[in-house]
Amino acid sequence: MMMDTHSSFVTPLRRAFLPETLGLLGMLGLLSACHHSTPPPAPAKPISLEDSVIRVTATIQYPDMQRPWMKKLPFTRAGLGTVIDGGRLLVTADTVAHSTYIELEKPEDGPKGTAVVEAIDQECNLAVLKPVDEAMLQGTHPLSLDESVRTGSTLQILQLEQNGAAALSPATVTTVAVMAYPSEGSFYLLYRASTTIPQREGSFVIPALHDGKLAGLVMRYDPKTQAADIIPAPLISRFLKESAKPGYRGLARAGLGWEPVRGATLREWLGARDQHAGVYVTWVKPGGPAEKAGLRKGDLLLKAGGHEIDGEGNYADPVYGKITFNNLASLESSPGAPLKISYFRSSGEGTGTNASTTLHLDGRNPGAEISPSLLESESPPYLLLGGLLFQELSRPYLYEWGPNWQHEAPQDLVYLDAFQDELPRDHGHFVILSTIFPTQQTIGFQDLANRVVKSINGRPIRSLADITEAAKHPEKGFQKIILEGSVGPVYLDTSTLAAEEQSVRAEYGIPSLPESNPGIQP
Amino acid sequence: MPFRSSLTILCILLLPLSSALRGSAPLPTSEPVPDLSASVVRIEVTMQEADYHTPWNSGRLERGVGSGFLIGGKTILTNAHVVSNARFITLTREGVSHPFVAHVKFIAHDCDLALLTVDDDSFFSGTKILEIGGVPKIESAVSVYGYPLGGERLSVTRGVVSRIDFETYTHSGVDSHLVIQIDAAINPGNSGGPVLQDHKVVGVAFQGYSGDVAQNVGFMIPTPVIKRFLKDISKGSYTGYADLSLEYRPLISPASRAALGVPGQDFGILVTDVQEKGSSYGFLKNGDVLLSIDGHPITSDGRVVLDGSSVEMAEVVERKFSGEKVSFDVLRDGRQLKIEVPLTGTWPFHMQSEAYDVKPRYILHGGLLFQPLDRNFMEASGGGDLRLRRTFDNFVECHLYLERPEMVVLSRVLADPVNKDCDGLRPGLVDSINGKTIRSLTDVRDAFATPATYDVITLMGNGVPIVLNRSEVLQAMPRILENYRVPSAENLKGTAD
Repeated sequence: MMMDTHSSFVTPLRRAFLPETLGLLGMLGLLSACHHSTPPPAPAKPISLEDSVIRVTATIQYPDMQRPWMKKLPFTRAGLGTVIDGGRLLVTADTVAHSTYIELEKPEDGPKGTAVVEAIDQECNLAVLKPVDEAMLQGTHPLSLDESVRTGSTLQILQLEQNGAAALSPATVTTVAVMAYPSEGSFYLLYRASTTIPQREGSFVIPALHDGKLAGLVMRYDPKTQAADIIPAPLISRFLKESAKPGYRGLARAGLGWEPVRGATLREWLGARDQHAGVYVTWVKPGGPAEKAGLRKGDLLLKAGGHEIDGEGNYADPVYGKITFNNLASLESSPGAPLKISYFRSSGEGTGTNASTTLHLDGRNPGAEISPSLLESESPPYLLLGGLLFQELSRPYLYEWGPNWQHEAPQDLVYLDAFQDELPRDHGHFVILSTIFPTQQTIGFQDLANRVVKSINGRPIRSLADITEAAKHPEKGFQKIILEGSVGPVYLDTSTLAAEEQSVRAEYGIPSLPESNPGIQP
Repeated sequence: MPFRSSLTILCILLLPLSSALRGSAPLPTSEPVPDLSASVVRIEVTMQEADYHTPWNSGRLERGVGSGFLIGGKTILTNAHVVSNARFITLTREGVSHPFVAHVKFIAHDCDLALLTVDDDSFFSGTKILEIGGVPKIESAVSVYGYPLGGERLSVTRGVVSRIDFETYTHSGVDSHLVIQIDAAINPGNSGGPVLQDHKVVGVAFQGYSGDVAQNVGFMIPTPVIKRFLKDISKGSYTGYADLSLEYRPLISPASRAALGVPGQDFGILVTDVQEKGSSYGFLKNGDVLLSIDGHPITSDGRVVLDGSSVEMAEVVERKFSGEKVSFDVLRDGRQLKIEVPLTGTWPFHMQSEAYDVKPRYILHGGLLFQPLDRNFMEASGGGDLRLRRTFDNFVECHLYLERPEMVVLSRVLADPVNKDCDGLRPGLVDSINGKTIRSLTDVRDAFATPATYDVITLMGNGVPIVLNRSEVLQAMPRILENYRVPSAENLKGTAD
């Protein structure tokens, strides 16, 4: 399990008890798979709860990663935004990520309005919306957060009936633990609750209440197991606090990967005979907090923030009991804040020493990822060189191969993405030859799509900008492109390159977008 | 390659022992096929295929039916896949009341051919030898003889020659040779049967597509491949194919041709990789443009004209044997050279062939099972693990074999108190044991044979080392072998049995 975002692929998701269907439901819309109608819960309307929610309908449009100048077919997601302090609405990030338009509607056929995203974090799946017209929130009643929920607590899931009246379904919290979130590699505190949520319109995100306050947001529901995954109020509170700071880049993390240490033999061999605890550090993020603090692969991490870490990576939380220690960073601390850690380092001879250090937690650093796990821009960068289209490798690019992308996508790319942590720290990005438009010059190269570009004109390629630069130095009038694999060089005739690019743009409807396409000056 | 996976070999497997095989009474005799019932035999095989999940087990029994035909010298030609992993082989011939016990004289897994013989001479009385002919013309008619679908009477189907081309031989999974595609119905059980034209053998039926992929497409092994096999074994053993061990690409793009200084549009291919330790290494180089092979001009899409038909350049090498030479006209750095390449074996790519007639190799240490990352292992494991899959697929192309001639997988853990810390371990590639880099299964054995207090196994990638206490392992071994019914803690011999 990792404390960082992009590495879960290499490590078994030990905490991800979640059946895969649950994650899928989250992607498809919370309740779309709920077919059988369940008896509606007894209407309970002690207070006007509908005054605290607004219907949110987002029109979502993903960029087409394989044709990066295009966006895909728009679709809508509808859920309930919870009114919170400051004239804002709280929803899950999935509800509004990549939205082109967000519409608000008051429960009881009130006026419609629009909203903008004020803060969003796809890792912890939370977003704050701000209505464009403040009148939208007139007469609404903001909910405050309730952080007192424990295993066994009963929550009320709040939905709206057709007529706009509040409808509550009881839910019993069965688990409070650090578990996998929909965004790959993200692990945060989560409530799992047992409940029956009837299918209703606009249920992509639903508030869960406790004592009339907001206890969390339901982000996934599996009608088969009747299990709901709820983003807990403490995490919401942390997100609201951190995202209000300028330059927010995600909740705090230590930048290390670890695996449990289950038996005594490994510790004995390392020489940590007196230790009864700790996890094995399998990876430190280059330039990340753990590395800066001097932690290394192979260290046994014994303590964090004054808490002892057991062999499974749990600490004894005063509120929740044993939970995974990355909660100490993500929930209990802030990016930039210090976290004191103790570790054991083996000298290799069956002995070793204990040491302590302080690391300074960090947010997400997408620029440092070799193959970014999240889409950073609504218009992914690309570059056209004659009939050759180049892009940088990212996880969203691989998602284009569908739900079974790990087997369907080009295996070399899947491998490079999955094991990027094993690459040298100054590796840079992978640039791939993503599409070969058939032209006079590209005849004979049609089979080379989705190969990684090694060099152009003898210059190593680690970014699209490298291509722009390298292309300025053709060899004897030719662009010489070397790809990974035994496929030989691809030569392009510089004299016809500009004309060819122009005709490809015209032929295939690729607009000139200078900001997305650094372009080539022949 | 989509077709590779959909091609099926045509030996019919009956699982488990089918009563239909023996149960039905012989059908009333219709007009027997003239002559050929004296030449084409039905081959029944009891085979035992090793289970690479439990490599210490001898595997389950299966029964198969194929066809074969007499070619003289008291031998019967059939497909290698019909008699692979055979424990017991019998032949039956129409008009003869009982089966005869046969055994494999020669077997060539790289071209899917085998030669059988029968010790009881009475089998051969009344038989008739078939003569091996040439390569049939496209669109000419051929007849396929054999015992498809488990039937006991000789069957014949007719069709025409549709195409002659290079195709993967699915039996080994890595070899490609000349193949003739015909449109006659070829079904499981036809395997090893002769395809005739003008009373001469023009091929051996051997593989086809399953019905949901393509219809009226069957493949036969043409006579150049058969003749090569017969020539190879004439010295008393089978050596196998030689290979250039290089990668090349067509040179179609005008810019590439201009940049490399290759004149014209029609001839020349580009060498893109020369596999170290293969035949061409030290003779040909990356970036060489091959213009002709043994005097045959190589077209820019990599073909030559042989016997009047256009075939892949490799066909020139196909007809040769290890020790012979191939000569090339090469354009290198703007100069034209003549280079002779002496052919050695097919190493390294044959390391990735499917293995037959061998017991799986493995080492069991403290309940941890170590196996080579080979094709049989990958097929048994389903190829689910990304790192294993990718390493296997790139073993030759990325020259991984140079550093590690045999990748070793820690494939499973037979749970025991000694390995209780390995809870939840997933299959992984072994990087080192006790500090020694593992380059083969033998290295694993050597590492465990060297005295040590702890056994420290490091897998590739970022992970926790696996640490076992050696003295505990030694104590545990008899218990593990007993509990899991493992007859031996290791098998390192790759010998046929």
